[in-house]
Amino acid sequence: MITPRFDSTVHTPNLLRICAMLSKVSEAEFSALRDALGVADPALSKYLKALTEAGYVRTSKLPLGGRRHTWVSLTPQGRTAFLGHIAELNRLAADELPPPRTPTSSAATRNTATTAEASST
Amino acid sequence: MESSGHDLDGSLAAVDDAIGSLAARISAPRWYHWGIGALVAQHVVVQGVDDRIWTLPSGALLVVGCAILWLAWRTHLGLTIGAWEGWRSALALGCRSLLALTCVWTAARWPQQGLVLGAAAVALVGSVWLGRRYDRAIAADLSRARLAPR
Repeated sequence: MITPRFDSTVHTPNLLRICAMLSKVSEAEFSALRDALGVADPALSKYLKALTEAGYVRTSKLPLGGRRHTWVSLTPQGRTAFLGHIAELNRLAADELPPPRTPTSSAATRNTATTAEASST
Repeated sequence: MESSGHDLDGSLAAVDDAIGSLAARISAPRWYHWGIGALVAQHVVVQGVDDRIWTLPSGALLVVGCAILWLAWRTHLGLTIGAWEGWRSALALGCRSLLALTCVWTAARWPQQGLVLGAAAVALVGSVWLGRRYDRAIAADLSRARLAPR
């Protein structure tokens, strides 16, 4: 059960996108995230540092072919925070929508309008 | 907290875009599916050989080869996909495994040369075709699993 909860760390646009991508895969490599986001290496490092400090992502470095590849994954805490944040955004977005028009409410509106018209005359 | 409708829509759209860009990245290189197909096909051919001494080395080659190819594919893609992303990809993966098992069983049950080579060819081509179907299915499953309401 996901509890809708606004999370100011996750709400930052690029951090939100990183969490969204990580929520759909088990792990993502640093360069894959960088290419998908279209940001430079230092910027992505900064975003990942912020998420790591919040305890939302974990990174692991694996040497392969003479290079060290950094793999990033969402922690259970990060997944909960992200899904709670999305639930809260969806809740807020739903609250902002105009109420659906039902035949009953339309009839009530018409009756109110008629009453107001009659009282004004 | 105050947030305008524009901010909310923008945030939810950013989430969908991020998942969409991730789904667009998922495509295995050509060698991956041909490699898997070749590994299955060699095992099918070995089943048609009378001498059972090759069954174990062939099975080991199949398992180790698939593991190495999977690691190479993961590094190439830069992503590790979870075991379950949706029924379409699970179905494609299930069909691929079933095809491989059927071809191996056919070659072991009726070890005539023509039938064994036919089963190996079906295993090779079928693995490539179903592998590509799996790529498309996993991308579709990820795209459909967007988080914002539409």
